[in-house]
Amino acid sequence: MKSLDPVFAFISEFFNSQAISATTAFSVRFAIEELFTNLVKYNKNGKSDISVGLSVQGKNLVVQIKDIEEHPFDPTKAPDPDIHAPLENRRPGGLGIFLVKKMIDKVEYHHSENMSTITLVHSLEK
Amino acid sequence: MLKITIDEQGTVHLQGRLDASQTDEAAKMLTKVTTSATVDFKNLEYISSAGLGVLIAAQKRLKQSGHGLTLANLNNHIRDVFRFARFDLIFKIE
Repeated sequence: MKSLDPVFAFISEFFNSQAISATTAFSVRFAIEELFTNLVKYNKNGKSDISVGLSVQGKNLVVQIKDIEEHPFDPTKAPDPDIHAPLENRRPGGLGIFLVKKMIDKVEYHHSENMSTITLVHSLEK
Repeated sequence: MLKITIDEQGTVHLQGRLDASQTDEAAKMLTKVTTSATVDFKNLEYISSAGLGVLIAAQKRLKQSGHGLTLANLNNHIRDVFRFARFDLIFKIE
């Protein structure tokens, strides 16, 4: 998953330029990695590059992740894992998206004309 | 980047970032742990769910022989992630 390196470099540069707090930076970085790796893993036929856009809008940090997906997959509808299960039944799968939903204020999914767009909105006052 | 070392006492030290690009190295190193051990997070800045998966796999393997990992010195961000994932139910966290 070496394709993550330029993504993290881009995110870090943006966070530094906007003086984003360490708490927000951790949560947003975590969310972008989870969603980005999910798209790479589950959209193997995707021939397009995944785009990640960051912007500050008022008191929020807004992230948009876009990818061409023939078959829409809405991560916000993924079932939550059983986090109370005993160790032998714990599976890492599904944990990432669950944690994103816990850590980020708003996660939205939109699919139109073969394009999936995941939008994250997170308060900068954290 | 991730740096992972095991000292003479058997404590595993993590340094840097344990993200999806570093899981192979972390998993390989953790296979060397065959008894109960502490994993020191003092210098770990970041962990992703891929990193959590590596820890779960190691804990499952160790529990089969009655051993387990103790996770120590987590920063506040990583502690939050572990709290949301209820890792306190499957690891000893100091």
